[in-house]
Amino acid sequence: MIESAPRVGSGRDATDDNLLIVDDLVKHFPIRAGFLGTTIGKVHAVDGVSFALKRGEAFGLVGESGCGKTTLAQTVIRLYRPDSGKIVFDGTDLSPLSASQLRPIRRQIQMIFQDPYASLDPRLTVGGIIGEPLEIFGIGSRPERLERVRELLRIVGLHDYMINRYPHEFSGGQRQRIGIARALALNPDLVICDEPVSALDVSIQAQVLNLLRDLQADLGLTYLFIAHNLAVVAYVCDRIGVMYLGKLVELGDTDVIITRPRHPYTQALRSAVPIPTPGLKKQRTVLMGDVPSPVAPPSGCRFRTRCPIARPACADEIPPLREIDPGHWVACLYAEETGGS
Amino acid sequence: MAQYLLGRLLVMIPTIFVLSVVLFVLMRLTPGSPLQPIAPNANPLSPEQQENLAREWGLDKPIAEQYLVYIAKAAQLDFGTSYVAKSRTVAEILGPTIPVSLHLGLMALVLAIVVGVSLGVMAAVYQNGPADYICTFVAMLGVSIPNFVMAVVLIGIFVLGLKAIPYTGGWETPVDWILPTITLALGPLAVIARYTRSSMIEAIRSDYVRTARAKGANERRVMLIHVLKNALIPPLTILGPLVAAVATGSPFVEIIFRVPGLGRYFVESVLGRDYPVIMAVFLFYGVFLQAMNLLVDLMYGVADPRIRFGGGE
Amino acid sequence: MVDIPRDVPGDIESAMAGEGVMASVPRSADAPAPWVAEPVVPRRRHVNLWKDAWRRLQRNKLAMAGLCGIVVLLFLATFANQLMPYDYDYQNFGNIGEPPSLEFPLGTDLVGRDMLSRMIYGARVSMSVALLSQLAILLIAVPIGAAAGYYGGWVDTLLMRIVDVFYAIPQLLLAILIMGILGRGLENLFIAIILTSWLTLSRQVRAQMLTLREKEFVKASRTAGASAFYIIVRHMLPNALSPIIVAVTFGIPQIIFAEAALSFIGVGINPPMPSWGQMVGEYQQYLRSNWHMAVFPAIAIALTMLSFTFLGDGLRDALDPRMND
Repeated sequence: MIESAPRVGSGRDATDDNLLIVDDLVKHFPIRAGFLGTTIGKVHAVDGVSFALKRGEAFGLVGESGCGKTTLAQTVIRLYRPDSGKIVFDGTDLSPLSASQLRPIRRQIQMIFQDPYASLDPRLTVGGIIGEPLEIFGIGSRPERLERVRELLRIVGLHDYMINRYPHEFSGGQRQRIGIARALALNPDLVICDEPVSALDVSIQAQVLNLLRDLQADLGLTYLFIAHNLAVVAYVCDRIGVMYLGKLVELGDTDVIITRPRHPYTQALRSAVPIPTPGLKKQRTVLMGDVPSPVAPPSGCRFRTRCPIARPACADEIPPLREIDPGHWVACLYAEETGGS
Repeated sequence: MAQYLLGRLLVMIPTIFVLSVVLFVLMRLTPGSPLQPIAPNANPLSPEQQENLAREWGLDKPIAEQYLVYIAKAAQLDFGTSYVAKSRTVAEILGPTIPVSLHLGLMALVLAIVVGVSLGVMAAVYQNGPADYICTFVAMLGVSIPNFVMAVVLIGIFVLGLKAIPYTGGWETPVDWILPTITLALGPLAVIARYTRSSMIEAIRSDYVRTARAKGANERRVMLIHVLKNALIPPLTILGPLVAAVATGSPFVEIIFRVPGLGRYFVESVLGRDYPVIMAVFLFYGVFLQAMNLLVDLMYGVADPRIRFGGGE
Repeated sequence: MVDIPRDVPGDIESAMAGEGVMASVPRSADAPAPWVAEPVVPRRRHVNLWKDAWRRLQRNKLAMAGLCGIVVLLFLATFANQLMPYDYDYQNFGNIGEPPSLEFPLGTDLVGRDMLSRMIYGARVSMSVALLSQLAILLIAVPIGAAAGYYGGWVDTLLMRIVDVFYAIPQLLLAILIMGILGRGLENLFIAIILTSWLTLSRQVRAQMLTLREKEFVKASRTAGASAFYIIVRHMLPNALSPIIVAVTFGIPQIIFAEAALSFIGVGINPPMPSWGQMVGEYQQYLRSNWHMAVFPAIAIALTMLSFTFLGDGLRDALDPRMND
């Protein structure tokens, strides 16, 4: 699937088949101290991110903890109000909408959360949890909702008897499937998966990822898939965006990102993925130093403090995300030299 | 550290300010108080006395000025003349009672801390031993039984039953000090014991103690020093509320044991609608407790190295 | 490029954890080696969280003793009129200040009133003041605390500043002041107690809300389109229920104490209505001559507060680990 380029600033009409366009999205969190609550700084969680998703595609966002991907996900689904920028879903900009205006749109965007132990209300039965979205929107009668819950359980590979049980009776993998069933209840077009397998054991991760892939194919879903593991993202997604400290540093098709990454950060990420071929020596790029604080990010290119090819110019200007090959965007002043390996 | 104290101070000042305003408003609305003496028969003063009072407190001036008059007088410890003992000023009446209450309160607090901490430490070190059961038992009693009820019980046992203590009460001889102090100390003692015990247990079970043991720290005594130093810091945080508890408990103890303290006069003034005295006592309590809280915060700031050397994230 | 073997069947975990349904679960022919399977979830009968807590409470003897005490008190309070041998204000000047006897099992007071009757009616007074006040406090504090905790903003700041100011003066002293201004009597007592006590519960509810607000299942509900009211009522309050229950159970003896203390001083219940605290207050000076007049009410207060405290402790232990998953 070839992309649609993230065009910054221009309005898009609803006739193209971009389901979601994120346009220069910014979200900062003020740090308050003292009893008067004065703001003494800001966490630059998301600092001008733009990309577009086509209907039916799976778009992955990858980056380390603290790079802002979860904040981005939660802002797109309007758990937070963005400070600036647009979230255009199916032609409608979500950013200025009020809670009641958002409500009807919520049926079309749903989210799968990271922690299977915290994302299910321990007080509700499994049936209650999965059926809650239906109840909120008053869809169908009680027997109809019950039937739909049964159907959802079957879709995610679980059993009917679970309807009257409580979440704590089940394992992490099963709970995550319950979360997936809940996300599918309203038949959404877009499903945002916020690190859906990060809290699971590796063997279970495989099962859940397969389930997610199958669901996308069977139900025609569009995914915004977020993870910190490049291998996981590569398995599920058609296109990948790499985030670092609140900004997108690389964007492109999955096989391009994996085989020919241009940004030094992506290269480091990719080199860290274990390849199960014994005897293969590969070049390991180990990054120096720690991630800088999102409160005071480095000037210019934010990655320059850990970048193996950093030059003096990197501190002066913020490298723009530019199209180095068709459909392959990189935010590095010296991307031509990195010659993806 | 200085920042921490500054923060504390900055919270304290508006609190006292709001407190004085609330008291001011309450007194203004209450018929018969010096700040609103108009209602006839609302207080034991004659009409001319009421007019004098009105002029003295500036009741013909705008409200803001009235408040300032009130505050200015309070700062000079001039709370007017008592309604009940009409020849004496409030300051004269309350003056002698404050040292008495302070004396009683201090003794009770010291007793509570010394016994409470010891009990808590013993209970934690010898868990499930006799000390632990005593500690839990005392804690339960102290928390559940009001001090005036306990006073009745103690009087029954020691004064009437064993006849170990004379029945007179008062505050003359040291013998008079025994029962009131014990009674007042019991509640705070229970709280301190419980708190110290759980804090000690947490310290004993903590990783740094296990490390010390693994290193083969020779004597239990050395370890106890480690543990104690850390375990005794959290209970410091409740010292403020503890002082408040002692202050609240003292009226009842003073009444039963006939101790001529501030608490007893407070109650008498409430019963007799002696508003000048009521205002004075309340302001005193408010300021005193805030000052005590600040002192406790200071001690805590010194004791906890994280605050002493400035916290940072 | 990394790839993951696709032959792990998706329902292996349900197969391992299910009960009775196992026979009907289709197993794929290429079931993998055991090391790929999930850890087995222990079988559990359908658990009801409340029944679990009740069972644990029953094992706590002190708590059960407290519960019995409370039941007895409620019985006395409800059927006071039937149980009292005499009217509580029936003055029998022939039997002033008599110690316990067959005719008057707990003795009489200084105006010849039967102590037993007054004690029984005192139970009704204490219980009604405590339970009704606590109910009112609950109805005021929970919505305000929930709103402050959930919405934050100016509601929250306002609440916290008020709490700070009230924290400067001990509750009881403030109550004494209020009763001094308003005068004695049952209605004023309610006002004084409710005014000085609602803040603590409000603060606790707010604290609970603050923690719960960040929980993922609350966020999940928001993304599913739930309104604030729905979330608070359906998700947050049920999860905050145990601390609230414990707070209420501890709040009741505090109110009983407040009423007793205020009446002891003389600014609480208006005589001739009996109040244990008032009796202790009035008769403590006669301990040497007529000990029974002050001792019995004192014991009653102690036992009542102990009962509620035992129950509260037990409830806190029974509700704690299990209910918070």
